[in-house]
Amino acid sequence: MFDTDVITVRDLSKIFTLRGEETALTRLIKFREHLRLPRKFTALKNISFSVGDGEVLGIVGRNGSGKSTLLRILAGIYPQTSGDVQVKGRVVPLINLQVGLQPKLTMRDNIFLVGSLFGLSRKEVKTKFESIVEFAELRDFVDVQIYQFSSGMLARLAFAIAIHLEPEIMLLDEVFFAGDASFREKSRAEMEKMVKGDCTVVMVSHQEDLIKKMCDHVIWLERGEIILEGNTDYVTGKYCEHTVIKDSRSSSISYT
Amino acid sequence: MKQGINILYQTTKASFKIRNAGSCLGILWYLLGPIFTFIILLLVFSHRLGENVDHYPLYLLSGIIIWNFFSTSTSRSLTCVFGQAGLIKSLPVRRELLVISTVLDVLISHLFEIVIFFLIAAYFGVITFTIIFFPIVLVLNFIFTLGVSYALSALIFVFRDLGQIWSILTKVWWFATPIFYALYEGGRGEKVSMFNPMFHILDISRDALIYSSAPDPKSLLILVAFSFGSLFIGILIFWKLYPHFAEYV
Repeated sequence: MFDTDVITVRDLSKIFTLRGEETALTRLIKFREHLRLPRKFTALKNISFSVGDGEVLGIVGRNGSGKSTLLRILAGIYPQTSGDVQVKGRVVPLINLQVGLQPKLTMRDNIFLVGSLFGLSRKEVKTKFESIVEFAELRDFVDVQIYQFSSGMLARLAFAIAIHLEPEIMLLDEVFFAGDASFREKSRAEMEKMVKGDCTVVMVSHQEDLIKKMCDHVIWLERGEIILEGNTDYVTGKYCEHTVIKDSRSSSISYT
Repeated sequence: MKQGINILYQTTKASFKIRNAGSCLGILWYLLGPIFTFIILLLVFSHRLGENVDHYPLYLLSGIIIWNFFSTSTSRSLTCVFGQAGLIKSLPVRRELLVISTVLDVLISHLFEIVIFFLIAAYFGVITFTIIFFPIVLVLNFIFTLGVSYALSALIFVFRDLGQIWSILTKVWWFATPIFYALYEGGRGEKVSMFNPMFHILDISRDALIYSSAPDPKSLLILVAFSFGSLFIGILIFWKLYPHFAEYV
């Protein structure tokens, strides 16, 4: 079904070095302590997978299982400790939608600024400008500084920019749909259109229905390792079973 | 490359607009700082330190604005990447662009200050032809400052108190540099100043702007060495540390 792989990950590991608050002063005073080996934390351990062109990969797992770390490595935000990561195409990481928005600038300036940060050229932003404003339903506020926006307006603006980025590869970290019911419906439909289109997607989510609806296959991460990988229904089924059992067990303990 | 230039353009424009509170009048506000420093120092020192200096007001003003470019750029470079945790944790924007755009932003306001300097110089009747040498030293100053900014913007990830250290260092440096005083010919200060890149920048600038003399080749050579040395070391430090920026904020 998917002839070429656009994301290939082989034997990927990520080890964080946990550091205390380091200042030149503390280094001077406790220079001996520096000799002690810093603590290490393994966030990802020997991960291998590949994603084909146009495929939608879902990643599930409990908090702290390494999902976001994996996305950030794919996006090129964190360097990997070992292993091989290859990503071919224009990557748009939607890890934090409101990233780069400057409260003291007008909506117009913000669209150009954020567009450029996501790698769009001035010309591209210009041609998409009207459509972004239209989608956000904020035509009357184009020249208003956005610190005066309500949080719903901000979320709408951020989302409107995000869906105009035309990525080849999209990395989604728990993108939730903000705003009122009608905007939520609209953005959900738009996002589904994008995900179902040509775009290759890696998405992290705790919403099982979203994963089930959109993903072609799913990886289940636990403590930085792949526990299960495969068909969406199969993996989410197992994952749900596992977490439900775990949750019911822990809740029964807390109630007794 | 083209994408980088666009990011540079947009971020510089954004930070310039933010600093000016969205209006052209905002420029006045940050020109007022150096102008007040200038007036105060002029009132205090013109009869003591300035007696033996030709065109002391211009000497002082050029010193203040050129020093200001360096000190403002470097102090803002400390937070230009470090303070953008949200951005660098969620987008792989090329980090060096944030540093360059910070220094560019300060350069733009520096150019306004230079225009004011020219107006005041014209008022005193000082118009020189050696002005053509000034852009050279401006470029060297930019390169030197950029190098220091690169180093600082990266080192603060390792030493969180670099801000405090740097503010003390620049204070000492400000007094060690002939900004509001002049060096004695052949004195000890002159020998020490050979190792002070800011001295060379000021010296060559003043020669060009006020005293109509071409740059002293030796001074220029030392400055060129300092500038490119600073840029080289700055980029080296930055390049060594930048892959882990996102993990350290």
